[in-house]
Amino acid sequence: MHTPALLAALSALAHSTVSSAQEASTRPEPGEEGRASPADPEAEHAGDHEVVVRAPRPAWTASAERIDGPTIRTAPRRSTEDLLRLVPGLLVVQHGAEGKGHQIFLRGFDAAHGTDVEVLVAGLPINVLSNVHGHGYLDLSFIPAEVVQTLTVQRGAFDLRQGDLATAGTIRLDLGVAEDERGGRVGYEGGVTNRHRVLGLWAPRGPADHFVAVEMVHDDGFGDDRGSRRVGMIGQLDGEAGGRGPTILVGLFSSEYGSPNAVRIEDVQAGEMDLHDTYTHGLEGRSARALAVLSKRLDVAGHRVSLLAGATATRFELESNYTGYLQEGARGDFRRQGHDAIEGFISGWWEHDLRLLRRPLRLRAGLEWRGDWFDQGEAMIALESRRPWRVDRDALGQSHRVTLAAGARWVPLSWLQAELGLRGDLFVLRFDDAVDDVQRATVALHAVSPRAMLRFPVARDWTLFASYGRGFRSPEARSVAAAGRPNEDVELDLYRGGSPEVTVSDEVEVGVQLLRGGWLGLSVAGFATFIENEMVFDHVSGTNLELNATRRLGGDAGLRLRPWRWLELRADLTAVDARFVETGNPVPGAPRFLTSFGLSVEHRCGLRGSVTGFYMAPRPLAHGATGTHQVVLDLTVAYRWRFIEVRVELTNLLDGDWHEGEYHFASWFDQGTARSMIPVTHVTPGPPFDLRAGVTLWI
Amino acid sequence: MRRFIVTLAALGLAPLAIAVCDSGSEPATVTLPLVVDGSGLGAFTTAEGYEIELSALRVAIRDLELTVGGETHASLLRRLERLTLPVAFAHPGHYAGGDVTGELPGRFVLDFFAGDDTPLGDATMLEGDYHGMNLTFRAADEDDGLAADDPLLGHAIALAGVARRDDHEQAFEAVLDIDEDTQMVGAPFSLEVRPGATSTLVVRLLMVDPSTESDTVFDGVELPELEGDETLGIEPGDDAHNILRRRIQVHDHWWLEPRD
Repeated sequence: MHTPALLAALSALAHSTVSSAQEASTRPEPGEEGRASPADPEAEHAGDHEVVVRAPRPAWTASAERIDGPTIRTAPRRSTEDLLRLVPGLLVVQHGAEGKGHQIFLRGFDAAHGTDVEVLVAGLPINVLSNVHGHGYLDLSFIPAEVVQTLTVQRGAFDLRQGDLATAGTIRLDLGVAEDERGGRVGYEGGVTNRHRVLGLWAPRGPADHFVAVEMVHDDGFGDDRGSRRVGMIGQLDGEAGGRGPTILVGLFSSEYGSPNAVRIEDVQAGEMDLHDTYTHGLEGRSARALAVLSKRLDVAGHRVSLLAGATATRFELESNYTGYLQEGARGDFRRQGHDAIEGFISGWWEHDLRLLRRPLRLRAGLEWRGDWFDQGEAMIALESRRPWRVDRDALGQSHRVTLAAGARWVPLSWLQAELGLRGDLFVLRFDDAVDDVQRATVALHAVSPRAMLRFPVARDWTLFASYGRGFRSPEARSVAAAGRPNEDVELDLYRGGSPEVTVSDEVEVGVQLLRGGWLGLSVAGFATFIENEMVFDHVSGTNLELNATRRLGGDAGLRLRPWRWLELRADLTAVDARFVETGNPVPGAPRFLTSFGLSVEHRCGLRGSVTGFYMAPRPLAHGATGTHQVVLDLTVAYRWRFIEVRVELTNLLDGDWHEGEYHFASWFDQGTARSMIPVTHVTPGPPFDLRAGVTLWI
Repeated sequence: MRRFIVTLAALGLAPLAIAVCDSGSEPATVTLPLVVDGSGLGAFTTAEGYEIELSALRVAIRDLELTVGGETHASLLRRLERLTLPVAFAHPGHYAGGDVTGELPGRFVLDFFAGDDTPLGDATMLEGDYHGMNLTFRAADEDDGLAADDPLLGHAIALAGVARRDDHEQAFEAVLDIDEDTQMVGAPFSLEVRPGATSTLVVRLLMVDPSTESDTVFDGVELPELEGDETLGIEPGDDAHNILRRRIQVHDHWWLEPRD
């Protein structure tokens, strides 16, 4: 084979999937629009000294997506978590106030606060394992949206590097500041909810992606008890640019936020409550985080090694009451949860290119360790004094994961590219509850996860995909102590509540993608996810609940149009039928049909903006109830002239009373009425029409 | 291109026309009458060889709850079911019954020797596939309309009967105390409730566990033989009291039977 062709083929292999946080933006990535690739296989015919800009390269699966640049900059957002709304098919729900982690739904999964969605920031897994409020708790408020450079999404678990909690998928946030945004800037944003946001950002011009950002926010919120305040600093030293040191990311963050209840929809319909009211007042939450990440890539004689070491310390505290006085009577179901945790993470991945049967072959291997130590507590508290009157949990715990993975990418034929891999994960979990002597245990578990991705570039602009992956979710540490715990009501030999297990999902996906001329992208994928035995730790009963098998069948379709460089149109559609196999009942809460669109403008004259919106069909709730149609439209307009930018964000243009969260459970808030255990629909409202305006000065 | 963009935008906005002011939908609600089986309890033989014949059995409870099948199961339980238990008497474990979606709130004294069925009231139930019943024990008090010398007053359970073994017959009376707010969870109850359902739900307390057809409430109880016609009293603190309490407060012997 001629040398240029060999280089071209190797370059094709060098186009990696979305899984690697360490792969630099300077290495051509699949899906990068408009970037020239001198080693493009198609360029071999263009001569040795010509560079031909071709269509963007597809990713390794039909459901992988990279969101960057104009899409992020023009999206309306109160915080970085709002940027997750850009992910096709992903629904984020805030059932508290800004600052509390969102609830996430993706591909038929109710991922709660992150239980089934792995999130990485600069390569560091950011989900808080075994968090007292939710396993895998996720909070991205510590990142100012202005330093989010790219969002890469892999729906499903197909790539070798996707790890714990990626049963529904993986989202990676890479931080940085675009070249045309670099410099120093100070920004202020105000809003009709008495919102005041100040941002200071310094990103020196040059090839290195250094930055430091400081953010302060105060917002009274759009309804009762939805105020929030936060302050944070995050900074990056880009050692990769000079080829010398590691890239270092550090951050500090603290926030406070209100904790409203979900309202009974019948109370709203009867005029007794407004949708934005709350039954109880004064409950609050607090979060804090410190993190540090070091990453370094080495290339020694063709052996490429990506190293990462990171640590994060988090503090979480939440007062809440979702059920009123239903469980505890006159004292109320007021609960305080606290969780202090430290996470350590070390990762090393190796790649090396060879040839097999004269065809390019890339070998990959990885070794990871993650350790979490936590101190958590849960108590029932008196509303007036905030003093605990019953301590339900006062526990210490640890979880450790060691991963060994190996795989290979091979291009055996011009029309077939394959990646096969296998990863093994070993978990050791320990839990020690000082409140209950029975709850003390250590358990070792493991998961073996094969992964396979096939890509068929069958024509100039067309690529077919077929993928299989086994995803997994570790049990939370508390569950290891529940195993074997006798239940007072049932004979011990009849039911023990089950032993903790790693939940394993098997998913297959097929798809097709068209990428033409940098101005058109179309992808369609069908997927099926099967979970044989989903282990859930029930926080109420203190037992492991083995849910019936589930299956999720669905499809995604996405359209990207860029008729001109300054204009992008996006449209996405996701349909999922998620059901329990045995009963045929739908998985509650998971949206069945979700479509979104966006029209983004970023013109060199300085005008930028977007019109975005989504529609969600009524989703199934528990006990046979169904939710409502949801439609939201947002508008962002900004104009930059030299060193000053003015920006206006209008969210919920229709000012609709939309139900961001919909649930079906029992509550009793009005003690003047009869207590009832029968569940009814509760909702948490989305923000009404909201206007935020800001000005930014570049220094 | 312009027409294409406008068309596409229109398609994206089309759901606006669909998003009417609907409020979602709740599952249908059904009411079914709940009664206590007052026909009495037949004689039974304990593991210790006593033939027990009860003449009175009353239980003070509150707040009956009915639970749907749910999506949880005990895998170990399922394996045991197939090996040892007739499917017709499948035993739900704790929380295998799922969520509470039906109820009859209130305070009740269940009299299993009242003669005819005693109506408790109408249970409100969401449509669904029901799998279990819960109730909460309490101490009976004056508000239950009991006479001042009623043995049940201040206690959760009162029962009386005779025990025969060999040639001796011993009359006994028992009052049992159960900690306030103790719940019995997961009594078997199997019914598909749909709009238009008309079944009557009958609460039964069975002295013999139907799943084993041999375990009785009185297994493990040794009754001292008193001379003459003296009636044996079983009270809180006695070994017999603790055995009876432990057996009656779990779901093994409770049953909610739909009757058409």
